[in-house]
Amino acid sequence: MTSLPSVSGSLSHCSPIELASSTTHEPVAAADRLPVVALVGRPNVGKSTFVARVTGRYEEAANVPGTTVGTLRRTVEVGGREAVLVDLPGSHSMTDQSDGLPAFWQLLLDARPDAVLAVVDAGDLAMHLPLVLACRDLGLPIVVAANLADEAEAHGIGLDVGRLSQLLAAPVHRTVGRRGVGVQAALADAIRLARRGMGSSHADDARPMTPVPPYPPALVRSVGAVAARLRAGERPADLPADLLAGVEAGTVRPIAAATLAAAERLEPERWVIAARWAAEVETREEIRQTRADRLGRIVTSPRLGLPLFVVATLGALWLTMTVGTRLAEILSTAWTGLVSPGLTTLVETVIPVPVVSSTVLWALDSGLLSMLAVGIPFVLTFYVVIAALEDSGYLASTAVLSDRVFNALGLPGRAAIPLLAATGCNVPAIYATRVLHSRRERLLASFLVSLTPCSASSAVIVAALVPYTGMGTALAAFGVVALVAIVAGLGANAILPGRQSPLVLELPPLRLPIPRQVVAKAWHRFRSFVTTATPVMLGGSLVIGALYETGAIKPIELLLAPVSAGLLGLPPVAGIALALAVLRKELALQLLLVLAIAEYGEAARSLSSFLVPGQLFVFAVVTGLLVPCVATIGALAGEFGWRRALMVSGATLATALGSGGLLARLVGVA
Amino acid sequence: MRKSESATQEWTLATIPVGQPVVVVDVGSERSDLLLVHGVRPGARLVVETEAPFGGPRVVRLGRSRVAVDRRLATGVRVTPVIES
Repeated sequence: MTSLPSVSGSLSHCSPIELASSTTHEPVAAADRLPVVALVGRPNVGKSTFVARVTGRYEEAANVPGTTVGTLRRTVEVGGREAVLVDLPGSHSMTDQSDGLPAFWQLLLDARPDAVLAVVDAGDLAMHLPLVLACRDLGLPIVVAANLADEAEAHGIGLDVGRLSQLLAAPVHRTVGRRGVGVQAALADAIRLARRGMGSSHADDARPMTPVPPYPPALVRSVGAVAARLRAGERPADLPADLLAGVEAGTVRPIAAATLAAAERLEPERWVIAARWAAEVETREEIRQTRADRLGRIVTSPRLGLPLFVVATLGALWLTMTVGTRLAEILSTAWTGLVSPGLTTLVETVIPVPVVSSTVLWALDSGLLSMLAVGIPFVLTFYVVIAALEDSGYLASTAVLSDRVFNALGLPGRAAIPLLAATGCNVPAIYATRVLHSRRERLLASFLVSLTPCSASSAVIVAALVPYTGMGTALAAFGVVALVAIVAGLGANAILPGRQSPLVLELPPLRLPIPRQVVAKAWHRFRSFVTTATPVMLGGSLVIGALYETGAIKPIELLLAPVSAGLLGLPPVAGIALALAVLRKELALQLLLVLAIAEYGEAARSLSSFLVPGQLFVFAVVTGLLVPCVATIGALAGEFGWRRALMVSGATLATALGSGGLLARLVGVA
Repeated sequence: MRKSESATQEWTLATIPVGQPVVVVDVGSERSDLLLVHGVRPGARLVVETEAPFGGPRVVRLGRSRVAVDRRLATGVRVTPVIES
């Protein structure tokens, strides 16, 4: 919850007595808190677009199932009335549970909603009504938004809103979230119900399930009996402990606990009722096939789908590289031309000690430059591309197409999403592994992500090889990296205990992305990338600078010699450059040059003067595979804890060094 | 124990031809929860629309939604064909 400005403002004007009398007379407007409306719906029903319409924030909506990961609370105002809108992750049923999160009913009830706004697909009620019924069974007031009404109508499906409202005994609104049709009205209705419910909070424990749902009488009786026992203070031992704890804490009402405990018996009934009601309220002309339907079939078909997938993937990478390179040029030229000279003078004036000022400049000047030249252009561009693909609904199709391939690695096809993201930057890719269901899958995917060269290491591979050995060698290096990653992935899948969960994925219809939503989403993710990566980048540069400027780098170099010279067949300077690449990936090459010039003199300005092509190749491949950078390790630790983070990093390091050593022997440099 | 006990020809979601409308008889026991929440339930009418390459998932149409189902999981779903009138 962010703020309660108008409420607290109005409070200051009334005396405690006035306040007390106003609450007794008008229980609907409890002044001490805002009514809470929970937004519930199946994944991909346009819930987030719905919120965006109300709040004007477009960031976290995606045309991919299950992309709203956390619970978002926002204060909204509709028709002069404020309320807290809680956007819950899309869910198929009350018992849905994704890795690391509590079950959906727990998320919902912990938000302490006064009313539920259930968003359903107007064209597919049979699939969407069971969740609505489940919400109603919790004893919460509900309002239904029959969303995507335009898509339904394009398919020749109409809806008798009045009749549905009668059946559900709840207000039903026809809405088109994308265009804002009916959105305000639906929310206003939900706020109205929420305010009404607040006055009589928990008094409804006394009423039975109202209105009586059309469940078999025996089932209603048995659920009612459990609720009655709970209300009487009994705590039946056959009820799940978390439900009993919820009842004790007051978050779960007795009737809610009783219906949740009976979920397995109620759920089949809900689906039967949903199918019957859907048939009753849907008016169908002949069902029309839209262009999106046909296209949707084509992109998952074996013959055309695969080539399209290859084209789309390469296209996305090409676009990212082209636009990213261009942006990088512009930004780094601007920095070196406009900011860098002034900054250098400033730092040197403020800090008169040369060692310290140079160290600080490593961080402020070259550290920030690398953010501008590598981090920002490639990551931002990639986010825009991926957001557009997400919103179009195509990303889900790629998950289906690549499923079989990823199965071999113990992953479902969904893993394509974080891996694509990893080619931009590993940090957001680690977060993107949340689209996977189990911890095992997330760890396996994170390992592959760590082995995937990000834009910074790709830049090193290209810059180290293309000028000296040509384009073909660079492509070969990427090929070797991919091969190693696949072999390592196969190995990790065999070693890690457990099994992969089979893919069952709802495919969203293809839609034209909303530009504003795409940009807002990319920007939102980009912002969190910048705040995570910048401090790490600055800190890392500071450490490298201090080591270099104080000469402390020399002993480390000697320490690493057995690995760099013995195992990889590389000169000592290359060893230290690789080691420090943990702090800043793209520095591997720059650092190598700087250190080489310091060691061998000006002649070392060209890599080829002290590295033979075989060594360059080994250096490039190892850089591509090597330990994730500190920012990635931090992200891993944040998601899985330090033990797992170090395990993944260690496995990556071992893979990189092992394959590097093997490669060095194959090309004959060690 | 994986083998089907009945000797008669039995159709599953993995074997029905693309385009053949069927009704689900039984969803099997392995991870049936995943199927149930997507509406693949006994009595549901569906049709296989396409299938992903290399023995990948089969894409099933149920009413207006499309659901991709892992091939191995599909072998556990017993179905019976619908004869169009």
